[in-house]
Amino acid sequence: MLLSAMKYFRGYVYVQLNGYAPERFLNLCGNRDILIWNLKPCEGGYRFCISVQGFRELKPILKKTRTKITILKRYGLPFTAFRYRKRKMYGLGFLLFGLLLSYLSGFVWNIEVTGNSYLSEETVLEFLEEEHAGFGSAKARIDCAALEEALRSRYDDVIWTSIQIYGTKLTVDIQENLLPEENYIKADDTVYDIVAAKDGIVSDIITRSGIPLVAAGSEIKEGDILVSGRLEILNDDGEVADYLYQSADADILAKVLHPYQDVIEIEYINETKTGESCGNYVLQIFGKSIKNPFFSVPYQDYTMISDTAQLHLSRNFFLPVFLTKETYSEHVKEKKSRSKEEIQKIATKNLRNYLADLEEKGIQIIEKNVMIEKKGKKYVAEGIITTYESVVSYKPTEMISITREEGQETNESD
Amino acid sequence: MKKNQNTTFREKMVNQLELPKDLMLGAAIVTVTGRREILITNYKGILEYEDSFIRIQTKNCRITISGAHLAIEYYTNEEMKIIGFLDTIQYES
Repeated sequence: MLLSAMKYFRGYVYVQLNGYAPERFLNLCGNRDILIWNLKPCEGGYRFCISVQGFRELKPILKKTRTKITILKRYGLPFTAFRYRKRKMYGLGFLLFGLLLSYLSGFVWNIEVTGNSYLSEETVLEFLEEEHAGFGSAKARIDCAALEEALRSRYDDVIWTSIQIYGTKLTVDIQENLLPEENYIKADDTVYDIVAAKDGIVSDIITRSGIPLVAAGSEIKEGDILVSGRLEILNDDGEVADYLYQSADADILAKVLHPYQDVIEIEYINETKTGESCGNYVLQIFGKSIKNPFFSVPYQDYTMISDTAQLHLSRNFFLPVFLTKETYSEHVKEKKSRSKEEIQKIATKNLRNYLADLEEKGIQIIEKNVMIEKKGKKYVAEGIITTYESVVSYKPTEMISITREEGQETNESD
Repeated sequence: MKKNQNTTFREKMVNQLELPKDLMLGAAIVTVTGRREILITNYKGILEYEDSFIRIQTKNCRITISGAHLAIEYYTNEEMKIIGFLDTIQYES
């Protein structure tokens, strides 16, 4: 590639060689380091390519070998430039192109954000836009060090960042504080109680800190305090002298009943696709949509799927131009009724999905009791699912203050 | 003829000392890639060249390459690349 570009810029000629000893000519060329390529034999001689520089050195060799050379074709920039020497505007155009290119390369045309997980790419791009370092801003006016400083101070999660400009690309490297969010709750001064998230019966409780108010077997209602973060300090009389606060921490498992209901209609409308479909394109520029005026949907019942793509220069430099492809597929509506077996199958499937959802949340299922009954024009699957799950949720502890004087009074009475 | 067929003292020396043969003996290196490309290094000159065969002089022998549509893609003082459809590669002393 590079070699052929160099050949083009230097210029070369395609020539025909005839005469007494063409082989000797080739060997001499080789000895004198004159490069010859695309050598092919033809009637009474050879045809090959040779650089302009090499061509000029051929004279003594031609004389020695008594051969004649004829130029068949000229290639390369020197010849092209000579041919178009009178076309001033052509050269000016090239010059303008170069100038425009160098002018436009002074702006940021591409932004790459890496290393972000909590902070979204849009947020970072918005931040850059606000700091006048977004798409199309002049590279000379961007102060990378100041930008880094601003990004770090604006977002606390960002613990390290590096903003750099490579050519016309701005890269933002971010390192985030990836400690889990729980630590943030603990870090602030609020004290929490553990309250019940659901109604149920406590089956297992392990308290690590705080005062448990329930034991295994006790019935709980949603919102009940299970483990208190308030520690009572009693004086000698058995009265409360002071309160000590510490966030409650415990694992509490409870038996919880989930009511389940699923209604399945016997009659339903079935939509079958006929396989017929047609498409239409809609172009949207600066909020104005341009539709094909000759297009109308030829079906009575149809589903429309629209696929929208936004024009973008790089991965994240979006332009306000959208292209939407609308696909209309025809379908036919039919009234159908389900048999008992079908209904049973659907009900089983729905229940299984529901149970799978529960299990995905870490809920253990102990018992399920679901019956299908026919009620008029529909079947109803009803029942209760008994599960074994964590009912921990946090709520700030109510602060109760005790007046100091009272405490002092009791001390005096002692 | 006899001198060429048996290994000479010089060749033995080169073999023993593990010297590069192309430099010490002037041996040509012929690299054939598939049936369409052949690269010859360490040659002396072109003797004859036509569409169907090329004869090349090396230090101790001649190499005749025959085939069809043979073309020399490029050649320099050290190496030459031939493309075309190869039939035979023949060595003559």
